Amino acid sequence: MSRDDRKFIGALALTAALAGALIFSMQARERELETPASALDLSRIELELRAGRLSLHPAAFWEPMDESHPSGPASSGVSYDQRLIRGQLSRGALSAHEAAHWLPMEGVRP
Amino acid sequence: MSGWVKCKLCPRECQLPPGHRGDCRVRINYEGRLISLVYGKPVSANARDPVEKKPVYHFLPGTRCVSIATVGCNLHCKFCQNHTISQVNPEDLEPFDLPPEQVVAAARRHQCPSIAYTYSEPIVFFEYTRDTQALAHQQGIKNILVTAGYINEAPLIELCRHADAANLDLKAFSNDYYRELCAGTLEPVLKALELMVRLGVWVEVTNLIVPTLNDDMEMISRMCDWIAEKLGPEVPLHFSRFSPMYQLTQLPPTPADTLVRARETALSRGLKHVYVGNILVPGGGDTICPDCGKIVIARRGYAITAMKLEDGACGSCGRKIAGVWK
Repeated sequence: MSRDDRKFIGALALTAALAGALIFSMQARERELETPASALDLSRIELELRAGRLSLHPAAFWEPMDESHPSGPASSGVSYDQRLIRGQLSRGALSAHEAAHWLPMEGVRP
Repeated sequence: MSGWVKCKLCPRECQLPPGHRGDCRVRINYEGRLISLVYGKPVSANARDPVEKKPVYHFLPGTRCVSIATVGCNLHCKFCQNHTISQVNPEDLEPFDLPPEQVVAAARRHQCPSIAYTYSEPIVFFEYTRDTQALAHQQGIKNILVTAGYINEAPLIELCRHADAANLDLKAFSNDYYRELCAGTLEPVLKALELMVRLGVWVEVTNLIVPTLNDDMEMISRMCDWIAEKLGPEVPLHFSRFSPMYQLTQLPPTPADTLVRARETALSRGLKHVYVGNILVPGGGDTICPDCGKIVIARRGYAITAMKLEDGACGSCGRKIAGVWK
């Protein structure tokens, strides 16, 4: 192997390593944005709840996730959304085109 | 996936196993249900805030509002001026116990015609905001959202049912900026702006100019063009001065000259009401009649020093000035 070949292979290896590091850092940033959940200290939360410093109020706009229903079964959150959207649609605050984003079961597509 | 929940409030759509909190810190999966930890638990409550501080300049000028905020935010801006409440967990600060009824009662007691949901991010205390807004409207009190607008469309529609005004913080007209500086994305914010205007909420836009990061006049021009085209030229735009803060302490404050140039740029792109804030620049807070050029409302800081508005129109030439004036 000539000196030039060794230089070429070295440059190739360095480029590959830099590209790998760049891709890794980009993926890490994506993961940071996409999986932001973090574990709770539940005993601390429950202590604060008992002391009245936190509330335990039902949240709106969520759905349970279930393996047998990948997109989530109908939940209070989902049905609530749809009532709201239908109301906005009937008042003319949303067009049928916009409402179709939230009413996929109606057979209407944007 | 048993017991997991998916939050659909904001574009993050956090997927939470039991015993986990979302990115906003205040919504948790508690035994398979999504729960808000901060309903009725603000950490900031101010009974007599000038509406000009929000800022909203074309909405009940010269009046005061009750302002409330809980901890938490679904963005993580490196320049956040309220990071001591927006970027902490609810169990780490001592809140007030202030249910919606008491917020509205405080507004009545202090003769405030409006309530502002502000300082941190009303989106993450959605249920508290929604219920307080509805109660306020029942009693003839108006509502102001001060938000970054990083929210899904269905919950935004719900919030707008009882919102009268909003100041939306458009951080920059760049998705890269949102990703790098705020851990968010631009598109949902633009959609939120358009939807709010379409739903009849009085909207004003704030753009915090951070030296070297979003002070490019070409980008500011594109942002102004978008506002003029999609929201309308009468939507007020506030250029706000950055102060070194939180994770951006190495940068200097925004020079006054940059803010003045941004204002000139916005006016040249057709916007009618452009302000400079967080700094005293001569005329920077004045509402000028776009037709005759006379001062309609003169301001110094948050104070109104002269008002020549008559029935929502310029007192000199009669041109209608867009806004909610009573």
